[in-house]
Amino acid sequence: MLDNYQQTENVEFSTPTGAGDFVALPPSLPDKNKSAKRWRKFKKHATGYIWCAPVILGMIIFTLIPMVLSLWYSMHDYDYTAFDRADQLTNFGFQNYIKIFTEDFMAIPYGTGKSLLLTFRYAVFSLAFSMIGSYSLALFMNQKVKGMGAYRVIYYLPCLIPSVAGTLLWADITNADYGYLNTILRALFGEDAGLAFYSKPESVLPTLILTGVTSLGGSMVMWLAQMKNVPEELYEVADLDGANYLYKTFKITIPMTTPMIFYQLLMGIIGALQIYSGIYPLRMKYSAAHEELYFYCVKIYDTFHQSHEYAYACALSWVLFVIIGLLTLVVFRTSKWVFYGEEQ
Amino acid sequence: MKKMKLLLALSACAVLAFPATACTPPVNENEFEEGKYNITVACQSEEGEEAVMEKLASSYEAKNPDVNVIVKNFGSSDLDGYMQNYAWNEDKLANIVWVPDDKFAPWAAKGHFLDLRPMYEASKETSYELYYESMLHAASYTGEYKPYSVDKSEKHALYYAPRDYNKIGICYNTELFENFGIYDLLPEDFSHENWNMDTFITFLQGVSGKIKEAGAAYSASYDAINFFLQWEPVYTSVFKEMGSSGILDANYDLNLKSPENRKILSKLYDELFSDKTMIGTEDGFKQGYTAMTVCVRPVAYTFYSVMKGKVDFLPFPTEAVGAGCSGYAITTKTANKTQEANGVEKTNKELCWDFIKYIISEEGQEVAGEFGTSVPILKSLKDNGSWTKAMDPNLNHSAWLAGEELRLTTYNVFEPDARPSLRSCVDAIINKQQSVDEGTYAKMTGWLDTYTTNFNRVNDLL
Repeated sequence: MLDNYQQTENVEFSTPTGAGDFVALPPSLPDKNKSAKRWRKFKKHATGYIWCAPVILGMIIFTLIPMVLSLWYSMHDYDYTAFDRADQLTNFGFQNYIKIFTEDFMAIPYGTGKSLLLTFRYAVFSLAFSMIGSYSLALFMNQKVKGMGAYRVIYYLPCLIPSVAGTLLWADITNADYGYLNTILRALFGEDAGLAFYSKPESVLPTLILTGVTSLGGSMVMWLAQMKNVPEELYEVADLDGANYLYKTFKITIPMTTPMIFYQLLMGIIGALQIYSGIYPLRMKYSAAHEELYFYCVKIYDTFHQSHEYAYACALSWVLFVIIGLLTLVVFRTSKWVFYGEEQ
Repeated sequence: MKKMKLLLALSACAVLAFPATACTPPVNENEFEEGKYNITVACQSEEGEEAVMEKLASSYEAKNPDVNVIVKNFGSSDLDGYMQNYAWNEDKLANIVWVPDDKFAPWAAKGHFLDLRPMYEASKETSYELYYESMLHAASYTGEYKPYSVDKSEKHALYYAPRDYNKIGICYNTELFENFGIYDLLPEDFSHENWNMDTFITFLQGVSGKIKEAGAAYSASYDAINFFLQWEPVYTSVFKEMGSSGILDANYDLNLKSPENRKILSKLYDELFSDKTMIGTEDGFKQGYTAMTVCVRPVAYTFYSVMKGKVDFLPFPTEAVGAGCSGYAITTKTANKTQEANGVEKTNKELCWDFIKYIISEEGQEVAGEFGTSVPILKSLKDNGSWTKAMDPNLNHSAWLAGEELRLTTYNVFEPDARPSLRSCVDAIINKQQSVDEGTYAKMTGWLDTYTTNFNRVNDLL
């Protein structure tokens, strides 16, 4: 084993000699043919590089290069119908960013300000609903009750439905005229019992948030994993002290799962601000939802595909990127409440 | 083991590379035939467009054995998507592109499509008089074509050859009409005296009444019509019929808030949109919950297929009916390239025009008409073309020709690039007008002000 170590150059090696003491070994003799050594080293790790290649290449080709290009485009005017490709990008400057915060900010019906406000409103309420809902569900699923495995599977199953399909399914279920929910409500409570759901502007956002109930199972699984890691001794000690369920939940379970709360919060903020999937068909389906679901990413899509203002759409994307970055920073800076264990 | 790992890794890369094959262009190079003239045509796949083109291509090939027509579709995108992918790639760009009248203008204005007037005027077979004039105007991005011999400027050029004549009409569900007894409410004849916006509103109220009469379960689920007022041909026809001078004023500012337009919107709101059993959706129509929908002939063909023939047609209830069309444009970048077959060299322009000429000839129009998706562009086939027997000869095909031609010129005063945004702004305003809650007319007038102001501000930026 020691021979193997000594074949490699420029690495400081240590080997245990006794109770906790480490002694540095002298480096091996310098190899004259460095390039041959590098080649040998590459060959040794080639399999690893190849395995990583799809992800690294994917990141570079599909994320990094488009990001750089979109930043470049965002600082130009883009003529999507230009006869020659060379005439597509003109007027380098910050005009698109200025437009976002000036003339387009208060524009009605599809201004940046309005779509940002809608997105933030959705993010706050949906995040609160999904975090509290899924956490409560996980607390319930963490009980030692017969058949709990089956319940967990049942709650998790809807997460397997693709989000667009799920949204469309819900759109049909909540159709104010012929949806199943209203059909049941009318059968039970009379003709006037139906709810508006997506057919009236004021009930569009609550409907969207509440129909997210079927995706709680995904977060629930993660909460459960964290809850299972809470040392059993803590509950035993609390039991000895006569603590009730609520006390144990607030004093043990919640503090011990703060790393997961932090993670879910962060991912939730990022996901909610990027809400898009399923929204577009909903807006097409229900005229009342057209404006009420004009989230920021929908605006980016519309600007890109409907108005063909590609450069402006790129600028809008960068603004969202900065907003998410800043919020992430704030969440990290205010994360002293997260308990990572004694060593922290 | 190491080799196995390497092999696995390479296999994984190969598997990941498969999706990339989806990015390859939709033309299969192998479809090109040696020794023949090859013409590529790109069109949308929906509403039977690709199927019609396939049929036209094969009948043209049968007449011209030295020509091979390769049909490809836009995939999941539309004309804009297709052009953005291929406009700068001369080798992949199709020679002929199918274009709808509300989408071609930005591309035509930048010179991507050939002016077809010299070709039209080169032969009596394609004399302008043979076609509906409004459709020829629709093929010019300024909305007014002029013969090449009169005015050579590109602003009055014909950028595509209109293939059909699409007036709006009403498609209705025969089963619902039967079940609710709606047939009793229809007038005996559809002369303008009996079938206009006033009588139509009364008719719709009658339909709504019939649905309510049928019982609570029906009135909760069924609607009278998908009126589609936010669609340009619909609002243009309805506003004109109801006495409006248009949605733009003399300065080209949006004047939906003018007293006359407010009165129209108010009437429509009070008498139609505020009734819960009145306005349905296109989806509702397809699923059999909405009795009628406003549409054009190609979409009616789709309804006929989806609803297994349980549809028939009614004329649109206005004196002048908004009409549009789609057609075929020749791409400038490929037009002057040459091909040789049997020792004869021809330009793509010549080959494409010969094919287009066939499509807009009586023979080609009959081939397309049999399919049922379009009303022919040739006036001579108005009453007796194969299109009147398509789907089912007993259907009321003449509904698609009722009323005078109404040219859709609202947006032609704006730069072609700006038109999509303006259309979407008006769409939003009228859409909102239909979805406001009961008793909020005061609120409606409030947002009409703000929306209109915004539209005018958009105008200022043009």
